[in-house]
Amino acid sequence: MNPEKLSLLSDKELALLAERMGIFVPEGLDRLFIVEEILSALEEDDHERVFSHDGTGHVEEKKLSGRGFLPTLAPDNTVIPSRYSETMIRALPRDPAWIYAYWDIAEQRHPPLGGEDAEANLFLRVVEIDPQSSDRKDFFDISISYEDWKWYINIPQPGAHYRVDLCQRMKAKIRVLARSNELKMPVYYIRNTPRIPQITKSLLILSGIEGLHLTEPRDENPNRILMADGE
Amino acid sequence: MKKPCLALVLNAHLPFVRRPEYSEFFEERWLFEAISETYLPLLRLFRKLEADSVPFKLSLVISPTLLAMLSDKLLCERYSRYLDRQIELATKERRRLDGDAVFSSLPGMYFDLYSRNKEDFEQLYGRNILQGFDYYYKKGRIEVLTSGATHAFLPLYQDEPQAVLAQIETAIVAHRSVFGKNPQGFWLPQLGWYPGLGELLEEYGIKYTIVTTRGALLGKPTPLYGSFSPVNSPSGLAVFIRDAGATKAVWSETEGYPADPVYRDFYRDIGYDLDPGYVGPYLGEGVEHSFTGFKYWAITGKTDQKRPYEPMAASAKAVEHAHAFLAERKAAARAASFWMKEREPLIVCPYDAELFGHWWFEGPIFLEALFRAAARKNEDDDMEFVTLDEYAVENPENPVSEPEFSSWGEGGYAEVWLDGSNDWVHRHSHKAIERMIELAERFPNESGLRERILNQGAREALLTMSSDWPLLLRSGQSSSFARRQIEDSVSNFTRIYEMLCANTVDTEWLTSLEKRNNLFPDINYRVFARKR
Repeated sequence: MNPEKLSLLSDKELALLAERMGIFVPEGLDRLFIVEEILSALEEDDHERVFSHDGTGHVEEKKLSGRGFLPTLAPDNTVIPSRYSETMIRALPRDPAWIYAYWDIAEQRHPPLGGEDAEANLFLRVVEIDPQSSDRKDFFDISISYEDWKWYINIPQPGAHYRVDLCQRMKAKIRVLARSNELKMPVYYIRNTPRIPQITKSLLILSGIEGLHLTEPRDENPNRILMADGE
Repeated sequence: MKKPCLALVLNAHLPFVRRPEYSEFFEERWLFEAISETYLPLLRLFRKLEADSVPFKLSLVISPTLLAMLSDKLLCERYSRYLDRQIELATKERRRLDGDAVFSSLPGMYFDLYSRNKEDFEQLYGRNILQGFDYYYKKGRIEVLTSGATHAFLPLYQDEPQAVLAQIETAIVAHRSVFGKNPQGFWLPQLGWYPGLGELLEEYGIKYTIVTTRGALLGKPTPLYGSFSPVNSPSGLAVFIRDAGATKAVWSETEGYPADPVYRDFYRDIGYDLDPGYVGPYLGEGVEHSFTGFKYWAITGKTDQKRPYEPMAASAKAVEHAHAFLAERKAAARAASFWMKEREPLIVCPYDAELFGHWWFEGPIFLEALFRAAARKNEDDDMEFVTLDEYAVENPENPVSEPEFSSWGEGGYAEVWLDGSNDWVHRHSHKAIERMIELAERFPNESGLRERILNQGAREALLTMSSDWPLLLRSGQSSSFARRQIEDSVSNFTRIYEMLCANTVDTEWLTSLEKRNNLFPDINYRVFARKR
């Protein structure tokens, strides 16, 4: 999470993220201050992580150390496409709280200026799926524009199954342009702690469960489901 | 196993960097530094322990890209030249510091290091250090594991199982071509696991892997013995669990042993301290300042006023740390034994191999002291070093649990490989995979020129999946080079795809690309064909 990503979030999402992180946000606080508070909390988290010794980046960065770029390297004539002009969406699980989704819309599906579809609105529909029946359990929408091509989505239920639909709304009609892969989100903490045998509980402590903060269930607040335009 | 066991696992990996079109290429030094400071010192350590009849057991991962580079004649030739220049610099440094009351002895240490490396590399191993590792592999002192072909972070490809299978199969073929047998163990790049991965690994006869403490403890059901015993995934794959205490002791940049003030400082290097006119010729054309490998200062603390490095004091500290490490692991095992009546606890200690020697200069001394200390039997509390393979063979029955999606990256999941600095990579990598699968299905039985271009396409598609470049993009270290590497692979693959779609082949371009990106000579593009 960085300022760039935080700036992509709506006021409502920022407030919800702050709430999830346990940051008190007085009503009417400017979003700049909220971003600052979140970044400062994340910095503290990072600091804690260093001490929780779960990171490895520092070793890999050192073995790949050096100046970074060779001036004598031939001029960069490599051109890679920015997009592939197809209508698609893919969702990747980042951590228990965030899905990264990226998409593309084929040129021919962009609404022509002044045409009948010019009013069409794009949005992402984040659908929670029942893993047994594949039925939709819940959903929320995120408004996006034709210039957007990626989004980090804060999801309400770690451990749940999700899918992200790329949708277009024209007047009252909703068209699904593309449907992502389904993904199961990871969890943060050990569930059903009381059912774990005493032997295991003791060995979990010796295994370092406390240092990894795996026993602190975070409140799952159903209000965190965001409805861009309640349907 | 009748005693508590300790499994030391070292992951030797570097991303594929080979630029024959340049007379020298700066980033190839990553390999040269790792050979000089880690791989050859490790082999010397094995020889020394063997000569002294000290039993040692180690699980060593040699990643497929590293295998490719260590087998490559051009890179070996360049490494030999690199050693000549390091020896020359050491000689100059001896002259420069001759008579210096504090530093005069230090250039000699580097002179000895590079001279011994030169002798071992040329005379002992005939420029093929893999045969050194193979010797101990065959003797059962070490076991060699493989890893993802291009070190892809597999959880981000879970919706493309064919790409994951391609990473596994290509790795196994590369391992077999060097060592003559299939690997039993598979190191998950970045320890990236996701539920269901075990089934794919088992399809290729892989018997075991390792996950993080977090991933294992979040598994379903919670592992009966915590991290003190492997679990079997629902498909039957043995999954070893990284020990958090052992990780903390060595891994931490701030609290771990390598951060001790007496050890050699990694950052303070004459490549930054001295005049570019003096060090430049040893860094490569156009490079004024960078790491030369000649470092004369101790870590000291968070200060610019570093103390001079004292090798003897640092060696003594490494021995002290090895003893402390072993004592702590024994204490942890004793505590776990109290609860484990049916089996002895196992402590799995996996680290990046390059930590030992390259970053933590005294790391090889620590390892030597560790093996020597463990060899001194104490009936009350001794601990047996094992390889993962040995343990898996003797303990086929383990509690069943499916670990959670996890990695050893910061945060414990995928955020290192998926943030604003590097998320653009995945669009291209997934597209390359999708197209490669399409090509493998459209052209199932090709031979000759078309097979060659399809095989090169498979290499380039695999290279787009490397987890090293997104990591560097995120850290900001060598990020322009990392971006260039990804763009090159995507661009090469896209050109191959377009040529195949247009039914044309630029043979001159293909040949030059085959010569440059020559990893996985036995690759079969059909690894991308859907098998399920």
